Amino acid sequence: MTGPQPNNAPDDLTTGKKLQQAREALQLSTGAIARQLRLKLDIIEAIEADRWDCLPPVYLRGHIKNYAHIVGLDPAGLFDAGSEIASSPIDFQPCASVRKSLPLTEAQDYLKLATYLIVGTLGVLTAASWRTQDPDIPLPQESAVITNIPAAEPAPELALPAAQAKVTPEAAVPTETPSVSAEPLVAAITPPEAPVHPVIVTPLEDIARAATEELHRLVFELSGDSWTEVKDAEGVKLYSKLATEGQTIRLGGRAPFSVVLGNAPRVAVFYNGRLLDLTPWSRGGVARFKVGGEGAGEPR
Amino acid sequence: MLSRLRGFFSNDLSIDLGTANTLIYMRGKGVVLNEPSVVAIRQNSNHSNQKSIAAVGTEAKRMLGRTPGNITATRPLKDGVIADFTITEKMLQHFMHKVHGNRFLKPSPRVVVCVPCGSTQVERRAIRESAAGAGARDVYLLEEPLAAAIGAGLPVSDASGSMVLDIGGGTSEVAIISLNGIVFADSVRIGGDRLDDAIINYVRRNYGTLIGDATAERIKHTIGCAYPGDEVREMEVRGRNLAEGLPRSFTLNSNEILEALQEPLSGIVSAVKTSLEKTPPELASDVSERGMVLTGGGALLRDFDRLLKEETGIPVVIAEDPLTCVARGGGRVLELIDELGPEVLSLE
Repeated sequence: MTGPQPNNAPDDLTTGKKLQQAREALQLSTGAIARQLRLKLDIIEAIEADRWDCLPPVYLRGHIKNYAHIVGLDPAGLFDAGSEIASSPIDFQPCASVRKSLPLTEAQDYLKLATYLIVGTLGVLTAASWRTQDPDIPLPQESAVITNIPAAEPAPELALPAAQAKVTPEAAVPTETPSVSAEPLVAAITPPEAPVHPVIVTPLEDIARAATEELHRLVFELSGDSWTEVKDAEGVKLYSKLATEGQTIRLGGRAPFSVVLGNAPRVAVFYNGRLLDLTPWSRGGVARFKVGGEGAGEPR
Repeated sequence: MLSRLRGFFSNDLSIDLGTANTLIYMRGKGVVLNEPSVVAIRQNSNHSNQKSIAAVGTEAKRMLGRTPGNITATRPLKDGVIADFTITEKMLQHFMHKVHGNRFLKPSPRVVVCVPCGSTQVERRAIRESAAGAGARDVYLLEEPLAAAIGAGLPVSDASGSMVLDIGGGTSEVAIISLNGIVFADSVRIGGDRLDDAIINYVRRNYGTLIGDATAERIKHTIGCAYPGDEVREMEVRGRNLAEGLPRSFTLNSNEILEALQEPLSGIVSAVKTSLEKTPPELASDVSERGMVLTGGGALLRDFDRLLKEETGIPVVIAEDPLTCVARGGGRVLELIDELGPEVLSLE
C-alpha cells in the first residue's frame, strides 16, 4: 500500500475546507480520521469548520499537520500567513495567582509598616496618658533612682567612661534603694561648688561586674597647657583634649592606662597617689607611656 | 560590583546545556548559538602535562574519533549532567564569549540554565558553579520539561494538564504541567546517544562491523524510524569489519534500524506510560483530549509520534522547531524574571 500523494488544494479554500475536500476525495469519514489521530470527533469537525477555539494553537497546529499527512496534503501550504493559528508566539504568562500575589506582597509590606506604626503610636499614647493620670506612681526605670546625698569627696573633674561610671571604693556611699543597699557601689562626680549631687544607682548586673574589676586612679596636675590623651585597658578614651594651666584632671578606670602628654615637663602625673617620673618616656616634650597593670611604666 | 558593571554590557542568556548540543538563546535576538557539546583538548608536548583547548563546538565535533594522539575530543556532559566540570566551564565560557562577540569587557550576563528534572542536587550545583565560573552574574536553574513546554507554546499557565516529552541527547524527560508547575515528572537516561549506541551494537552483532558514533548518528538521521512505515529506506554504510580488520561497506535498511532501536524506544514509552498512570485523573483527562507534545532532537526520529500514539492511545503532536524549544522557553522565563522577579517560576 502506498500512502496518499500530496496534492495541491485550491488556494482560495480555508484550511478546514482543504482538509475536508482531501478527506472526501479519499472517501474517508471524519470518524476514521478521528480514530487515526486518537482525537474526539467534534475536534475533527471543528477543524473542518475552521473553528480554532476548540484547542490551544500548538495542539491544533500539530493535529492539523497530522491530519494533512493522513489525507496527503502538504502541511506547509495549509496555513495562511495571516491566520491566527499560522504561528503563535510563546504566550507564557505567570498564572493568575502569581500575578495577584505580586502586588499583594508589596501591599503586605505597607500594611505591616502601617500596623507597626499604629501599634507603636497607641503604645506611646497609652504610656503618656498613664503618666499624666497617675503622677504618684513611680516610673519604672532600670538604672536611675535619684536621691540627694552629700558628696563623698569633692573632685573638680572626675571623668569616667560611660560604661564604667560606676564605682570607686572610696566614692561608694549607701543609697536609699533597698535593692542595692547591701553593696553600695556609686560613682560620685562632685565638683566643689556642687555640694549636693544626684547619685546614680547602677543595675545589679553592672554592680556585680564592677565589683570584680579593680579601678585605678590617675591624676594630672598641670602647670602649663598640655594636650592630654588617656585610654584605659579596653582602649576607651577617658580623656582627650587640651588641658589648660592650673587644671587638675582626675581619672579612674581599669589599668593599664595609655597616656600621651604634650608639654610633659609641665605636667605632674600621680598614679594611685604616687608621683610618676616622666623623664624616661619624654621625647621632644611629648611623653608616651603606659601606666598600671602589666607592662606599666613602659613607653608606648 | 565589577560584574554588575559588566552586566550592563552583557545580554541575558538562556542556555540549554545538552549532552549532544548546547543552545544559547539571547534576549531579543533568539537562538544565537547551536553547537555540539564537544571540546577538543590538546596535550602540549613541550610542556609537561599542560593541556589547552584545541577546539570547541562544531569544529571539535568534526575531530571526534579522528584525533591524533595529542588531541582528545570529549563530550563533557553525559546523561544530561556534567561529567567533566572544568571542561564544561571552559566550553560555556567559550560559547558565552562567542555570542557576545569581541568586546572590551568580559561578558557577565544573567543566565538561565535548563537542567534535567531527574538531576541530583550535586549535579545541579555543578551546573550552577560551572555557569558562574564561566562568567555568569546570576545563574537560575530551570527544569528542562518546563522550559520545553514554555518554548513549545503549551498553555502551561492554565489550570489544565499539558504533557510534554523532551527527548534529548542524554535523557528523556516527561512531565505533566499545570499552573506553571510540574505536577509529575520522570526522567530516564535514554536519549539520542543511547539510540546511537543501539545502532552501533546492532551493526556489530549482525554485520560483524564496527562503526563510529558519527556514522551511527548519520544512520539514525537518515533511515532511523520508530514505527514500521510504508516505505523502506536504505543506506550504504562503511565500517571496519571485525573479522578481517579491513573497512567494508554494507547496506542497512530502515526496518533493521527499527529493530535496533526497539530496546531504547521501549524504555521511553514505558516512562510515558508510567507518567500517565501517575497523573491525577483530571489532568490525565486533559492530556487525553489534547494530546502530548514532543520536543527535543528525539522528536525528529521518524514516526516516533506514531509509536507513542499507538502505544498510549493519546494524540501526539511534534512541537514546531523541537530542537530549540528548551532554549526558547528559558528565554521567555528570562523576560519574566525581569518583569516579575526570579520567584515567578520557583527558580532555583
